[in-house]
Amino acid sequence: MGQLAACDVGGTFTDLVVLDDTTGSVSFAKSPTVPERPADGVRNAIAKSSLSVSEAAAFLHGTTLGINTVLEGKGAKPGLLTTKGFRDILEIARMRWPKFLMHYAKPAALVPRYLCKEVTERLTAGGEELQPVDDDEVRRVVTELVSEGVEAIAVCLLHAYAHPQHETQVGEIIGAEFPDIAVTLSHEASREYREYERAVTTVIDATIKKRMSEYIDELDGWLRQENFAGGLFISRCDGGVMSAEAAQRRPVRTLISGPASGVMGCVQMSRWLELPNVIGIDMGGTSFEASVITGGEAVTTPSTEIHGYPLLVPVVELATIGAGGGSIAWIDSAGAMEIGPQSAGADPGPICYGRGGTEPTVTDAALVSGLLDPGRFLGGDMRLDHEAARRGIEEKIANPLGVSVAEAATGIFEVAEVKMAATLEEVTVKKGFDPRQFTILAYGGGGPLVACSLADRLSAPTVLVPPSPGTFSAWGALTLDVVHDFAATAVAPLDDLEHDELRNAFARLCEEADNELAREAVPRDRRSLLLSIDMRYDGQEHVLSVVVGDGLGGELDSLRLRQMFDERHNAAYGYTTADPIEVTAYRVRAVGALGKPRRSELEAADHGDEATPSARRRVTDFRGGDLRDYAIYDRALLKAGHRFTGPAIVEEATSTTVVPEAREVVVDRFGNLLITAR
Amino acid sequence: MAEASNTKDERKLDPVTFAVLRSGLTSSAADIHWVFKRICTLPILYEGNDYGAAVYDSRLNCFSSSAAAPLFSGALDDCVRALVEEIGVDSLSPGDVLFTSDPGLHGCHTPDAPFVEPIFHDGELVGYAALRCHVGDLGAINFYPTTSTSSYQEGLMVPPIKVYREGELNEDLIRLVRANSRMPMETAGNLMAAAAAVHAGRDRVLRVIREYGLDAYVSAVEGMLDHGETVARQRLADIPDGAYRIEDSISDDGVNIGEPIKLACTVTIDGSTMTVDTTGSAEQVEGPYNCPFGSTLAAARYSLTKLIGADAPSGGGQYRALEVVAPRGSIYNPIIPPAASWNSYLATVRLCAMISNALAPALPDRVPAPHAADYPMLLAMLEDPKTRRPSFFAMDTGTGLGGIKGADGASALVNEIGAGVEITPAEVLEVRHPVLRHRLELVTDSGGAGEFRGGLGAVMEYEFLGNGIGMSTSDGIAPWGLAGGLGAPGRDEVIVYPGTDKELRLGKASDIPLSAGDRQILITAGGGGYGPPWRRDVEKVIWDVKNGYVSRHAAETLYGVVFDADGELDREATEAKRSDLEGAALDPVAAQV
Repeated sequence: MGQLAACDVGGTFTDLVVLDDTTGSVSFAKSPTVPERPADGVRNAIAKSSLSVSEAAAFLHGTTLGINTVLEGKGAKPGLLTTKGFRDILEIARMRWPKFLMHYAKPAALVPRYLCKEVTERLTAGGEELQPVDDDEVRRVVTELVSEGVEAIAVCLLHAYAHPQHETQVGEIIGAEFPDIAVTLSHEASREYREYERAVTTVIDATIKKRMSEYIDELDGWLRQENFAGGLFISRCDGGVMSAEAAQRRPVRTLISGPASGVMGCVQMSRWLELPNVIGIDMGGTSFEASVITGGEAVTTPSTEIHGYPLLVPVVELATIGAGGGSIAWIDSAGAMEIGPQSAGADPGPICYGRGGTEPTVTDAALVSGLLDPGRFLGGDMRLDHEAARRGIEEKIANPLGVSVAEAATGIFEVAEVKMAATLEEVTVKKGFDPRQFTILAYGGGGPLVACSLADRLSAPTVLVPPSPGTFSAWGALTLDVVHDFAATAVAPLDDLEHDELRNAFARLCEEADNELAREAVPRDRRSLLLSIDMRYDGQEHVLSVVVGDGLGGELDSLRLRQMFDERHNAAYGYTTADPIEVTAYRVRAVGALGKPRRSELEAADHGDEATPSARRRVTDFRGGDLRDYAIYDRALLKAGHRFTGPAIVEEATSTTVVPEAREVVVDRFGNLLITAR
Repeated sequence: MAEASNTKDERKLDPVTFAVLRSGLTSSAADIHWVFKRICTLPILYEGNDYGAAVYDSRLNCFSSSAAAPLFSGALDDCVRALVEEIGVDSLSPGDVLFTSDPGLHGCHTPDAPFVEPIFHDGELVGYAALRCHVGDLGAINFYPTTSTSSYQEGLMVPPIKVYREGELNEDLIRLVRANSRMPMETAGNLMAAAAAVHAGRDRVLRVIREYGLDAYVSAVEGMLDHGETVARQRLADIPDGAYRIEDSISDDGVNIGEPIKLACTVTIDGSTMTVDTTGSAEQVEGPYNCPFGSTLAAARYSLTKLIGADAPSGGGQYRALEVVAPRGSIYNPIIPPAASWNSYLATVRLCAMISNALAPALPDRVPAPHAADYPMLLAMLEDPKTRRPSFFAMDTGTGLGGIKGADGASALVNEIGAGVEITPAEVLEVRHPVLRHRLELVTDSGGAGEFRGGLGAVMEYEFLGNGIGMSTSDGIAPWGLAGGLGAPGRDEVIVYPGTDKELRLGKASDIPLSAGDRQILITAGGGGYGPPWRRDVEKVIWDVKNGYVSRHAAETLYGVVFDADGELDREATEAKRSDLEGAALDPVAAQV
């Protein structure tokens, strides 16, 4: 299929990864992001890369343009229409604020109060019309908004998630009278209940629509000029991509798509290696992120929050803590050591970067402990200043605490690990997943540094380090499929639902899903539908989502669903009850499979399976301060079939893998390091 | 790893190991919190956060306390102690979960009951994981009494008992509770959910002990307590010494209507110690507004944390810097068993507000003008006309915060003791309960005028779709202004059957008969203003008027910002009006309504 390219526009850099499918080789290019004209940044990255646009079969594109447009207030000037009585929904929000405060500044409402207008109309939760839409009033208030200079209107009426008729009616009036105004109806943005969250989601969609649409047109136009004949796909927050046209129609789905690529890379690995349960860990400069894959699927959650604003769209679930390499170690006023949440980030970064950082960080601690080689960081591109890091830890941590530098350094690292382990427990143990049945897949520059130690803390048997962990996220973007999520909130007792009702609820969603895939020109044999259903014990609020199968073929029987729910609840919380179960929502994830990067195989070791270390290094062991001898392996020299035992360190351009004494490494035929307990 | 021995000094962990263990142990109560939030029943819990968790060592020192409702976890130690003493520490086994609903033991109203799991490591008792939650309905005289005169009217009294005995569910207790509850399924569900949740705290502690050893754990807990105390004392030392006294009142006790109840509080900062003394407050009252000492303690502890900052290490260490004095037999330390079903919703809320407000002269840059110091709620028990099942709901609402030097107060936030609570969306509420929310709006001009304006109050209007009973809990103050700012014009109000012949404006009442079609309105007060209103930036006043936060009339009369007939700013008139106002120097006390 020629070349496949994925391009991610981040806050600082625009990253491009190109796969040559004939050779299987993957190459990377990076160029500074151009905030005012992001398409220029993309073009610059392409110019620096091996991509030949005219030969590319597909161009997958993730962008932060949407969220930046919202945060910088550069979107279309928005107005909001709500049900009568609810104009203050954005400002009142959920009346929540943090504890133990004398004063609190609420996040600013996305639409000022004078541009929030009401429509006389009312439906009940069951869809009964208590008050019809007052058409004349709609015309009047929209005229007022337009005369105030409003360019985009969000319409969020009560119960439209299930009963969109009033919103549709309002949308038609606006469309007929003011065809130039961008309009988003809340049921188009989300089919979930919770009016405040849906209103925010709708406003964001409406306000970024024009800018996103122009940007995508510009990019598409330029690509076509360069004789691009493939498909342009835009990344979504749920771990998939969609056509450019779909992204222009529903831009809110493009928000926060970046972190999902790494997770979807894990999904691909999990399927290839037939490891159904995977915990993905990504440790970068500023944060540590963990995700869970079960049964070969990423766990998604129906909503998220970004910069204090809720988004009612499905996202790949990621637990994040600020415990990356840049997290700062400090001593509080009472003399106790703490790590983070402040981070030195990438700039100035850790002391050892020599870019002006003065506070000791987790990376400094790793260097001083001997885990990192100052001369080989980033493949030798950046020489780390070991002495400065040592001095920083000595002055800021070791001396005030009255301990040795070695103890301080290992201590900093260990506290960071305890926090990361707690994050992993959050996504596993506390959600009813037993980490003993999971493989930890480590990526990002720092993931492999901590993976084995975290695996020990969680009793996870195996650690998997893919080739080039530092670029794994970018590679993951090449594995994305076309995805569209469909949901219907419909709360009802499970016992009351006959087989046909369950089937019909899904059938409607499946039809919509299939139509969408058809619209995206996904061939029939590449379409699949994943059905799940949200349930809870009557009286509970939080739901557990149970996967009921692929397509409508499965048995949709309420007894079987009850059994599946009881099992999940019991696994998660250790008990079941005989009380009624309530269904709250039906979900269908429509997937259109795109071509996958080929798996390149590693040359096999020819002389036995014993790998030869390239060096040995003295490393400070945890919790003792004793120096120990670690064998150092150069990953570029490892061949398929090689095996060796810890204590060892594997070094490569983008990452460092630490293998403790009690573990053994096997290199599989695809070049992955599989690290198991001896 | 550090070796531990018996003398205290030698037991001290090296600072690095201490940092590692502290990271692990600090979050153990949060583990309980999150598990419970996911599986509990009743909106009052999963939306209303009517619970709190804490984890203790074997001597009942709290080393981790959860982020749900601070008043629920703030003084859980006394209640765990009482429960363990009654059952007998020698009768505890691994896998037990203890429970009681006796307010004489647990220090709250009957259904706010504790669940305690002793934590055993290799047969040795090493700590307790505890949760207190509003467990559901235990068959009080009505579903949430405001007129009860004894705790016997406030629900089934369960003496200290094991819900789980060595991991086995006590089915008889579940049957007993079910038989005594208007909501058997939800209440029994919470019993099981609570037990599942405390396991999460236990597991965290045991993981730490398995990894680092028992001695290190014991030393780490001791170190955490010392550390918390040190930080608290350092921060208290920054507050000017003095005895800061304030008085307040509650309008009545719900039984003796119209007879105000005096409240008083003296906050003394003496070096690095803070004392909260409620001497001068009324004797214990007949109605259900008494505040058992445990709740008084929890309110004072909450206030301490607010004062020294949530970033200070949480738990028992900081409490060592606090003394709480409440004369026995008074409303803040009643003799058991008093009627107390409303303790945490009024007397404690008021105590927290009094402590802050008392410190305004000491901390003029940090203490804002007051808020309504009330916890207004809509509570109703209706029969769902479709399912014929009883439907209980409690719906919080928010008031405006006071202005503070440099910033306006926020509008419509749940009272500080409930911070973290989210109000239920209309769409969720209307799916679950036979009710319609018709309005949720900010109230123009409800914030106290000031250079930094008070936040606005909100109005909520409901229509009931089933028959049943409702209640009203409102008893707020009219917030006053600070530093020349004006007070808010009103206090919280509840209107039942609005616009009909039988319209009622209520403070506290229970057993309000409700029929399908009846309505109820909650209107909340804004916060007090800070600084003279005529000093407020004119552009801000123009924005306030454009957005309807302030009416044109108020802009002119209170802020001295005058608009012409076209709605444009009249600069000359504004200047003149502002200098008049400056000269008149509005008396902030007189501005209190």
